[in-house]
Amino acid sequence: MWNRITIALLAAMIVPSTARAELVAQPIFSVAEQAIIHRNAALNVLTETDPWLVRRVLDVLAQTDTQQGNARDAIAPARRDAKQERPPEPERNPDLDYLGRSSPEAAHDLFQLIKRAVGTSKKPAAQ
Amino acid sequence: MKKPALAGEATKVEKDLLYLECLRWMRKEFSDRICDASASRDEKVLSTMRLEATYQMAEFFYSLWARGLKSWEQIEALTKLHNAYIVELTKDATKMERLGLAGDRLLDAMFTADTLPRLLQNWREQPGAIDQSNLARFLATVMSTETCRKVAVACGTAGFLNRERTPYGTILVSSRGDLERILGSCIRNARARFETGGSDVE
Repeated sequence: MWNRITIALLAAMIVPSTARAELVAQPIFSVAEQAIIHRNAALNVLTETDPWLVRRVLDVLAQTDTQQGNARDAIAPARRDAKQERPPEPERNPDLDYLGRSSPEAAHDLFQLIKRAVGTSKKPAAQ
Repeated sequence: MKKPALAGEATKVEKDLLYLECLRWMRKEFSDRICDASASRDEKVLSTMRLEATYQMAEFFYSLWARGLKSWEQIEALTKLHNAYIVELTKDATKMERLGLAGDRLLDAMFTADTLPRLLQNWREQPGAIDQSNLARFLATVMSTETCRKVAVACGTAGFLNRERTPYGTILVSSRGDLERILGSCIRNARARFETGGSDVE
């Protein structure tokens, strides 16, 4: 289970440090933002305990919006550099699953699959 | 004076280091060259070009090209091997953990009676063209679906991939050949560097 500490750490990695203590009123989320919160378990949990942090996460996502209106694109490189692993329960956090996986073993397996699909008798294409 | 055995070992280590250096050089060159060749100078696109996932996607297209995987029978064979591989993976919890894969996601990566016909139809009509979701299935063990989409979009913007929206609402992806050409040249140059003892060879 992705506990609250992990969620806070995740958020802290992408949210600039600001004086959150000064913010006391409840943030307002648009319908679209509520949909994002609803489909990401981590944000759901965080909304109950620290809604302003959720507000800032959504703001960062919106600010870094790239092609096709998807904020995850621009965040991914920095996140990958920061921590080379996937977040827990990615199926419950689809909007936060922008950590690509990179396994040499899997890459080797894929290489072998293509090699086997073609067969060993066929010669490689001329380069 | 060194003993012959130790001297021989030192020579081997030197060659090992040279080989490692060439591998590192190849990986660096690939990033440099695809960024140079990118039609977009947008830093967001270029940063995606430098991702390991972009290299993985390039290697996938390069492998298909270099091994001459062109016919629909071959792509069908690849899907069968892929599905069998996924099934085996789901039975190996240790390996799944090692590869950072979840069971339900692996099952999503399998080609089914719904997705396979479309893959084969696309390939018959336009050899090399893959539905973006099917491309993500092939690459499921090396990158997430979202990362695959992100890399494909960036490669499209950079001019390396054609991305066409189909009447079915899907995105058909095909390589323009630059990824394969650039990776191929990097591999060949790296191999030449190793064979010539580390000299620059173009």
